[in-house]
Amino acid sequence: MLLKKSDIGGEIISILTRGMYLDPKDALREYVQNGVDAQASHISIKIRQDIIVIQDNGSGMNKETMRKAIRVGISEKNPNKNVGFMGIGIYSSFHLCDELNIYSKTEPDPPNHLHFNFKGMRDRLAEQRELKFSSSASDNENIALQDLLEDNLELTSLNNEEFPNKGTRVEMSGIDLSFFKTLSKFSEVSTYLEQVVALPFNPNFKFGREIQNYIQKVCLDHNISFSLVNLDLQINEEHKELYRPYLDDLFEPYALEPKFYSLKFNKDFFGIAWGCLNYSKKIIKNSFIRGFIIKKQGFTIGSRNDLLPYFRRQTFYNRYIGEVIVLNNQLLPNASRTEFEYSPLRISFQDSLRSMANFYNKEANLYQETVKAQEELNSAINFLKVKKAQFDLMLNNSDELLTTLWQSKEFSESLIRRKRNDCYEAEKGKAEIIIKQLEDFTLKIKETIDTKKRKRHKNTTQSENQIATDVENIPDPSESNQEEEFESLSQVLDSIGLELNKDLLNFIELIDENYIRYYSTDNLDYKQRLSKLKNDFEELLEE
Amino acid sequence: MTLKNFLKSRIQMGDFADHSNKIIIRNYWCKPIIKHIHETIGNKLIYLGLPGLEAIDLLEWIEHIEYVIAIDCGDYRIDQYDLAIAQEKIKKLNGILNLLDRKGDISGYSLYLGFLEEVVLKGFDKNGQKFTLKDTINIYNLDFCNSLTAPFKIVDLQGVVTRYYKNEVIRKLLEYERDIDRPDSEKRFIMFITVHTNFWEDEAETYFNVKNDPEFDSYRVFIRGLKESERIVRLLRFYFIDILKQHFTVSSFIPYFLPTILYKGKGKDNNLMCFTVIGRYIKQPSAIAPFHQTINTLIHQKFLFPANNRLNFLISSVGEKNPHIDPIQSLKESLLFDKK
Repeated sequence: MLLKKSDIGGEIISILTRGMYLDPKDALREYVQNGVDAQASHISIKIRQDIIVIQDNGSGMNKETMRKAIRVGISEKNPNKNVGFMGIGIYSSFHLCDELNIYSKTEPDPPNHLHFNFKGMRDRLAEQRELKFSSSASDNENIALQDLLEDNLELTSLNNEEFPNKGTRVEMSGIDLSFFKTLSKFSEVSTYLEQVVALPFNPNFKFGREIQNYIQKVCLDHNISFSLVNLDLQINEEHKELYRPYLDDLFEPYALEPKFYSLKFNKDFFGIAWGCLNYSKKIIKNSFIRGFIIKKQGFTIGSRNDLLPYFRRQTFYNRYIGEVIVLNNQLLPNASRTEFEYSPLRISFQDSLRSMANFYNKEANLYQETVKAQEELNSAINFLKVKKAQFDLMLNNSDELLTTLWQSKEFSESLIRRKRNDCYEAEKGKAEIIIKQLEDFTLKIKETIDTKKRKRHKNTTQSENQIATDVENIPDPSESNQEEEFESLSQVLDSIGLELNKDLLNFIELIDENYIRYYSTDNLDYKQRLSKLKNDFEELLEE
Repeated sequence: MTLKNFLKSRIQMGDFADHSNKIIIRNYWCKPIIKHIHETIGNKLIYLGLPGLEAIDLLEWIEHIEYVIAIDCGDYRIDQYDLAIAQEKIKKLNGILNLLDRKGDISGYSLYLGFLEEVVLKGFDKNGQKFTLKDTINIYNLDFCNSLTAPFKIVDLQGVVTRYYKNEVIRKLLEYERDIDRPDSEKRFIMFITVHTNFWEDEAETYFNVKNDPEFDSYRVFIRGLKESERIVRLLRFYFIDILKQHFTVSSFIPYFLPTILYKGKGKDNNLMCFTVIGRYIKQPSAIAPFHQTINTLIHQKFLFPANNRLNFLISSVGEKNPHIDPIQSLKESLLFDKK
């Protein structure tokens, strides 16, 4: 079957680019990607009055390559090596600017200039649509893609003085004012680029080097390579070298050492993940950065929220900062880089993500238990120190004796349980000593109370009778609720990842004081109520 | 005829186009100063100013300039300002600056669309770009030659209208430079300010009406024998030097005034005055920077004027003294642009 040139209409360019590049900033990513594919070590983005420039020091394009660059849906790039491979990215600014000028120079060839008149193309397509609306358009008036491009593209040779340095410079001019307002906001553009581009780690993230070394080692083992690029953003006078957005300051008070996970499913290897957990049992405050994100060849696929469902528990997910580095060449991103293209392999990859999430959930849980165990061990040491010193003073205070006995038993039981759960890796010996001391101390108090009991039989006084009754009624700490303990309602909300502003916090404290603490019979009851609330909240969130 | 009526003639920007006198000032006065500062600092310089749509000044000094912050209103017709026309016109300047950037002559530039007063004092240009300074400026090239009547009205983002005198732009720029998070030693610059002598602004007249000090009275006596036009330019010089001195010292910058140049621009009655001031930041408890010259010395100096490819002393019938005709000598004497 023979086809005519007019079988592929010019409108295709408008439809494709509008659908693929939803955010005007995506065009920046596309041109940066081209720079990375050209092995650029440095790329700069300059945004100012009506002109956006993306310039790289990569290998550049000769005239023949520039000629090929205008092709639609045809790319000579290799998806195994290059970030871009769809053959459409050059048109990503089609709806963004009136003109696109590309200057490129290879060594030792002179530079060339490729000019796209996007406004001319859009106007021509708009005319065609107008005609269609008025029902006066005939089939012959449908502009073919080839004609549209031929009429609005120009490739010319330059001399070295006009573009002296090797590499490529993309200039978008005649920026639509509504887009320009977004693109001239430094923090908005830098945040976007830091999230999506293949950037190095920030020197102010102490684990950056370790993580990068690990990634490189895995890449080497699997014979895979991808490059990071130094990217510089300049919007008028504001100027910054961009890095991946992870900083030590994001953690409270600091990040735990990164945990690595290898993503595999059956025989398929997908890549690796790294994750740093917040030291304190709190979520990472910055909601744009916490959690995990998927990267392929350094560039982001999808968004941070995409991986949350795999973790199920928002509480742990939000305490991490991490990345999933996909190294499998068969997993290809879709054109808009929101997801991987559908394939059986993608399903296996999703299974591996589930395992990865389990791993990080367990790690977070283990860490939480370990921290609690350590805190409890320290409290027990302190308790022993104080109570032993006060022991003689307690002899005549039966209430105090009873309370201390109960506390000592509780500490001892809890420490034994945590030791059994391997919560004292490094300090196992120390924990054993403290448990022994607690048991001895408990025994000593019991003996003291028994002595007092015996005295009661001799001189039956009401108060000693009461002591004896109380001793019998001492609850067994091993039967006490082993749930996570909270001191306040705000701690509960914090633990499930809810961020509260100052006003809300005040309301919460009021409710806590007047309705939860007020109706609690004692401290234990209060804590149990909080633990129950936490479970209820989490169930609600999971729904 | 009153003083105000005598002087109040509207000048359009077209009269302020390039002219042989301006070429002399640009090449034989400004350029050696800029070259000297470039060599002293050891780095190319950051420029802020109004280069005009042709950017002639800039192109002449480009070998010494690293980064350009340019402001242009695009359409000089104040009363019938048309944003679309302005945006179209400014493309020319944008094209020149972009070409310099592409060729690697400068490392970058910013271009703001709007009147100097509005961009600097309001903090936004007509396209909504925020005006902020992140680095210390080395060269200010400020032209107050447009036909704006003073004071300039600015409507802020809340819709509040405030009236500003032009000299307040300088005060604001000094505040920006002072507050930039850079080492104090980097906060030094040269400022070229060009004004029309035959445009008597409300601010100057108000100033003289309330000015009451013996120095000013005795200066009035000193210039009494001169023609009215000659007296006016001297009063205007007095006013500008005094007001600049106040702005500089209050903003913690030591000012140092180089001789004032008086010259004819394009068109009839288009007399212009070019002030050249060095500024250097000094941190001190009083917050008021010292002034190492005296107003009295400065107002008793001869004007310089451009002719025959050089600058010359303007001889008057009153006994004015010769300042340094070589700007580098003044720069060195100021001690504000040493290599430290």
